[in-house]
Amino acid sequence: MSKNKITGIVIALLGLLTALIPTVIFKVCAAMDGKFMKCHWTSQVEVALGITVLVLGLLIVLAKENAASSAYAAASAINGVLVILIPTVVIGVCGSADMPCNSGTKPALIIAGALVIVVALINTISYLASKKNG
Amino acid sequence: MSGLKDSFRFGIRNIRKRPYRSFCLMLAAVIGSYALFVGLSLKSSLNNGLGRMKERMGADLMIVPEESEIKARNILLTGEPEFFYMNASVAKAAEDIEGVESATSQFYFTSLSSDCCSTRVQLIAFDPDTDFVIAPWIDEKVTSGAENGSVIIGSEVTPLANGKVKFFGSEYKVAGKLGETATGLDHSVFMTRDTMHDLLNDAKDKGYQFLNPEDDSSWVSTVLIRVNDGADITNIEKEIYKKANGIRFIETDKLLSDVSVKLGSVESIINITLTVLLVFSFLTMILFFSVIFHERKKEFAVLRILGTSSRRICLFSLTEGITIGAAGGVAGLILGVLTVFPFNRFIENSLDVPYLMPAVSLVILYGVLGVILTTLFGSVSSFLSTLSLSHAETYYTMRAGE
Repeated sequence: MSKNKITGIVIALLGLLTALIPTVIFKVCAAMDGKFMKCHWTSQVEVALGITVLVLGLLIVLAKENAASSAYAAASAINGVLVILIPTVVIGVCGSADMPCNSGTKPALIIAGALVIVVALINTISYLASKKNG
Repeated sequence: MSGLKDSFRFGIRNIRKRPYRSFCLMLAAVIGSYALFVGLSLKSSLNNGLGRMKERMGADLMIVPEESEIKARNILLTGEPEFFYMNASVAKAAEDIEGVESATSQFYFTSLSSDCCSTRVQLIAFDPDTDFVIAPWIDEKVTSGAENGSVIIGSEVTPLANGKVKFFGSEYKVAGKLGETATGLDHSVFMTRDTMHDLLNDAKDKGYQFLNPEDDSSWVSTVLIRVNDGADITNIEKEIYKKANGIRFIETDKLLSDVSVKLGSVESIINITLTVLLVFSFLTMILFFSVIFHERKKEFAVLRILGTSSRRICLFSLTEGITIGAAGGVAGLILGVLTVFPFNRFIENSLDVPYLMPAVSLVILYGVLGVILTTLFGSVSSFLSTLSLSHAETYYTMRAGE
């Protein structure tokens, strides 16, 4: 199996994981008194980002050109950054450190996002290095 | 020295040439190192939590309303916000009884979820003149103590950006922060009875009434008692029963022993899982190495024919074993760190027992221990597998299968 295919499969799995973290694995808080909290909206955006990363991972697997694979990988890395920024800066989660969204969902999403970035950047950088070396 | 270097290079080349095989072997080491690091960190955190809880339970005896024993236990163990009241005369009943060293009362009520911290917080009013439970554990003093209009926060309570906390629409200055207790007190906010009176008035204005603020001095939630050394607690309880009705006693020793029992069962589950995973890791590595080296018999025979000594071949395989064990150990340690540290609070909430991370030096020691152990697993299993091959004659090995 080529390096691109392995990278693509790993990124696709991490995308799936990103979508599953706030909805299944570390479910965010339920609505309180009919009102949704911040973590609910974070969860919605993370599902969308997770699906995007999953599709990018599949495109890396299917791409025939190395250049296309590394471009998709770079796009995945950008999405990985967003996966981290949504629960920490852009939207956030509930304030109390004891809430499940703060103690479980947030760290899990940060780790998933960081892994997407690392795997995607390794692929992109190794492509750029191989191109430079001819 | 150059021999060692060559062996290392040869070993590394072998690992890189067979990535899938090396990955499977490394996975066994990852499991071993991960299990050891996470298991030991969890065990240590549980013991640390119980130790700190024992240390910081200031009172020997708690008097609570008859029907509120479970609520009081919840406040102490989980920090679940509760409120219950009994007549303040119970506090008087504990006075002048032989064996009682000191007694103090506390008043419990809760904040709103939309106030300071997104969730409800346990609010506890205490009497600074008689208190022996809260003041000794203030770690960070901002002022000389809890003054009227200021509060002391538990270690897990985060103030607002301006350093204050907000309850029922009013902001209060933080006079100090308690050190970690591994009890529900970490999630509580403490204040004097006068501050409590202000808060109850604010609560009444917002439509939340715990008790009539005009009448709050007539009620307490609990009376905490410290007994003299060697005093008979049962006798003290009997004496108090004679003076007060509708009350129940919570003995700290009994509470701690209940927690110890629960902790013991969690610890046995950790011990069993840890042992199973370590044995699995070691046996898998032995099995993998012996199968792989058996397949590579002819490769070793060729090396022997080319003049490589058995000792050297042993060194090659030992290098492979050590490298795979160490790399897997480090990967397992990274995974362990990514589990134990970011999910520290999640684990604490899920286990529902006192949980306090040990000192960083101890956690580092567990990590190093995990890497050393998997490196040892790798080297022993590769060495044993090579040893079993070294008895075979090179000629017969080369001719085998012809």
